[in-house]
Amino acid sequence: MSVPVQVRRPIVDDTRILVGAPVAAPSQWSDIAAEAMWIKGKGAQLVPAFSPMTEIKTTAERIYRFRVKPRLGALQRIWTIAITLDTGGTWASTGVAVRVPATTGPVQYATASYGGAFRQIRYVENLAAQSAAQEDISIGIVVDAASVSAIAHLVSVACFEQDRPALVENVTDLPVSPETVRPGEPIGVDIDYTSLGGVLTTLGSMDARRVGIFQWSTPSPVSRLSATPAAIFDIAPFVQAPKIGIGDTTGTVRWAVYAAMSAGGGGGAVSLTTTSGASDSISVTSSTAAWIDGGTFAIYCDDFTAIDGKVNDALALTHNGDGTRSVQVYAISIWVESVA
Amino acid sequence: MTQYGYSHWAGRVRRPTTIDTADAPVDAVSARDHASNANHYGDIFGQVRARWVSQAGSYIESVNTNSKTWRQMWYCPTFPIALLPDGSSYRLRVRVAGAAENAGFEVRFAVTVSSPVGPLVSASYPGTIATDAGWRTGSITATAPAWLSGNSLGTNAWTAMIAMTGPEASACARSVATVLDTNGVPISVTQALPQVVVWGYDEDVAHHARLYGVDVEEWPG
Repeated sequence: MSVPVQVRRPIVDDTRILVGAPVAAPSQWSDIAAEAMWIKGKGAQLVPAFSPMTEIKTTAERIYRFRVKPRLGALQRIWTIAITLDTGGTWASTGVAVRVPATTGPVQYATASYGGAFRQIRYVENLAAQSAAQEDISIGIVVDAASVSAIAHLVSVACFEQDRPALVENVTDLPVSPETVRPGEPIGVDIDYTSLGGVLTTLGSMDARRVGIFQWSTPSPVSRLSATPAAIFDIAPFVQAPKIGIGDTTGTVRWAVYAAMSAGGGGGAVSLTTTSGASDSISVTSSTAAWIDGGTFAIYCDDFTAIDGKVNDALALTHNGDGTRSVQVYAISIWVESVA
Repeated sequence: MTQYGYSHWAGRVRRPTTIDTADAPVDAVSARDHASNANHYGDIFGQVRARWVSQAGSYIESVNTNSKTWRQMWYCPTFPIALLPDGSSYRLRVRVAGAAENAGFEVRFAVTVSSPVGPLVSASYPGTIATDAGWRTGSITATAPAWLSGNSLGTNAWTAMIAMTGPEASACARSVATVLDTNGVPISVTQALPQVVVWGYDEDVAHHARLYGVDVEEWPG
């Protein structure tokens, strides 16, 4: 059995729930149920679209890596890539292979031809199991010799969890049918996926995370030899956490980098500071590129007194080598772990 | 103080786990907190749909072939934007970082959210768009990259947001094949799948707009 998820977000009129008056089943409990279902069914953006700012000039696989903490409900991930080709360029039928994960995943061929417009390539990744465990994900793009001459500009890469049109009655999805809290239906807490008990169980299992806060990845690392830190980016991006508690002004995020040193025996670092006062540093010592965990840090969260909810928390990211060996940075991931 | 979003408390109310069980009636106060929590979680669930800044020393340059015209500079692939009960979209908080190549020649930037196909596509041209689905800067002559100011182009004239009305969002509606469960049972999902485009305007075709960063984040409004 499955329970449908509404396409549009339901909103409960909570101002009409008053002490001394009954809580209305058709317009209040059922709306709470429908909204909780929508939150559970709507997919999250794991990798916000970013610009690799690169041309594909070689046949070597271009690998983009990200560390994420997905939501438990997801069944599919949708990867999207946008490209343009130079004048006269064409990607033939089997000239360009996209695969998730990079190197080992199922191949989907992408075709394109010059038309002056952006071309979107969509790759559907079916997940073998539902999991909310932290995960390292990647996408690879392989262009054959004939297609390399087409000069493709990689415009953007993104990944989001596919929306769920329905949740399955099981202990992972934990849906509730809004119909079971309508007038005339029995009130109960001991029948799975139904009535008030079902509503509260579904509410308690919502994961309303804004997952991807900042994701950047490159197949060719940015490197720095000097031990003096230098900015990785020309301008600091703004980051903003979801507001959880009523009085919160900050929210916690976690970060990691995929990096290496040009040779073993020394150490470099990737460091961050924010307008809100956070700072953290990840030491890089190995000459083999790998994910390295950072800590958690607090950034400003949503401001519900501002019409656009905006806060201005600029994130400055720097890197440094040790003067003898260069630090090589391939990816930076920042994500929200929990809004519980 | 004005409060935005749809929850009563603009924050999550933590409920003890020892109530709301069998033989413990749910009172109106508890119910209102549950409702407010659901609304608040819906509010903070807006996703970051695009966020990037350029690596040091790099940027995307406009490739306009005619002076004083707009041309697409960067493209955010389609994504399933969150919809409100009236069919309009969540607002998108937008930021654009850019600069002019030459201080003697102005450039401008714009951001639009629209259907990737259909009659509304042509209506997204930033030179003529007149809805809050478009946002545009004024004249930019500074050559150092900076986050830029602008306004949406409809009656709301938001300084940092764009959004689609119900009809604009409906133009993006698609039925997409997906799966119901881990067994791969086929099913389709209805979504509004808009594209976000960053545009550049050059006063003179020989002096380009330079794009250094884009930020697009859903916000319930």
